[in-house]
Amino acid sequence: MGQNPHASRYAGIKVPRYMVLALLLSGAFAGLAGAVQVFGVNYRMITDGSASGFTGGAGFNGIVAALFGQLHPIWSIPASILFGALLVGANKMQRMTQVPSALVTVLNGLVVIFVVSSEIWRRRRQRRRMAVAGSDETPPPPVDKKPQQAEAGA
Amino acid sequence: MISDLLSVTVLIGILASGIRLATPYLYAAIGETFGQKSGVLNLGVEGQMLLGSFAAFYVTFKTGNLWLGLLTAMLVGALMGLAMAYVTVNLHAQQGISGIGFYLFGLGMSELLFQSLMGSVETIQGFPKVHIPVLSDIPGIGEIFFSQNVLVYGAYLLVPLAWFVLNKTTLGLKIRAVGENPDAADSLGVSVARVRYFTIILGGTLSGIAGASLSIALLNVFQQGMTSGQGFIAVALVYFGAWRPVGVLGGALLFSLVNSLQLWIQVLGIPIPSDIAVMMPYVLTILVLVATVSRVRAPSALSKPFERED
Repeated sequence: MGQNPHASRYAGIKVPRYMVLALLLSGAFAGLAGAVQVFGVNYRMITDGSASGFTGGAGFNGIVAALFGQLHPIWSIPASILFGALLVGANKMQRMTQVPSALVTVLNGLVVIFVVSSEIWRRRRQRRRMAVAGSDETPPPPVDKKPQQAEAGA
Repeated sequence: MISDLLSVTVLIGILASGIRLATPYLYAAIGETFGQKSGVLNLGVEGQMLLGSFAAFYVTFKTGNLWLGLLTAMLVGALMGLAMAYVTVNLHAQQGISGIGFYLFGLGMSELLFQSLMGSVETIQGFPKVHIPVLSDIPGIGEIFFSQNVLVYGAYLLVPLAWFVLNKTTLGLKIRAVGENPDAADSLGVSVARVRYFTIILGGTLSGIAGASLSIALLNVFQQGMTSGQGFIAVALVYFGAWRPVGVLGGALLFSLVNSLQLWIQVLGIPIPSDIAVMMPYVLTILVLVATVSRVRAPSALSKPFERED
């Protein structure tokens, strides 16, 4: 559905229903994260009235970790561990070397920007790979290859 | 105690601060409206506001010159807008996510700079109230509308200006065309890239001013994370206002007046739990959004990267 909603609808998948379901699930997971934080980590609810309260910005960091794991559920495990380590390490870094922990937030932001920006190269490599794969099945007439290469290079 | 609320001085106070509080929302949301009208969703407004807020405060703090601070904030916002424009237009990045990246960058950078350059919270003399000669003497109304600082006046003047540019100029037509059907606009010779660069950088500059309005005009202080979500509310206000400057004005006023109301409620000690009071503006906004959502239509090309089909 994420790749091509129109094709999915044509294939009979009820797009709105599954979108709602996906959102419900992700909301449920987010709620679970909050519960884990309160029950398992802090043993209480800390609110300081700020926008991120007791989550320490975990909501946004979650987005970053997911992206870093290429939006693949399995990869989000090592990605989350990495970002958890970064956050803990940030405070330690601040205590030991006087480098402000805000540096980690900056890094988070830069990671997001760069991952999202690099998608264009990945898509182009995919297109080139698919073009090559297609031509393996039938002997490629030389005329066809040039427009594909021009498109990939554009 | 509720009777305290209904006294004239309190009501005037609520209205006056409501008008004032809407300022950052107006700057940021009008800026975002330009971007979204051209088809670009910028969720990094909060980051731009934070960095602009710090830049304005720090420069004003060091030089004592408010206008220099404002100018720096505009520059910072414009630079972030430039980066966003490159990522969105040239690299075709997914706009919602790249916006979050810029938000985190702005948040972290403003904190980093604050911690390394300042270390402790300071206050400054912000923009003073400018009393418009005759009009500010009108009892009640004078204090509410005509005794505000320069940035507040600027925010409200921005609304008719934005309406004019979007609806009555060629540039506005190009912006709207690019937001509705970039392929058609492109085939007619309009440079989609150039229009989007313009709207995104403009949005960034206005977000910078929005941040500056917080730190050197309204609150006269800089604290880490001081925007606390206002940038995101501003983005929501664009939807709320149906992508029209007048609608954005309405939304900003509604939100800020309710916000001002709940602040005064807390100050007066009226027994509404503070958490419920803080929720009020957000809940109201959601309710109005739900009520009006079916009647509005987004720019058709919103958040879709434009790639030329050869």
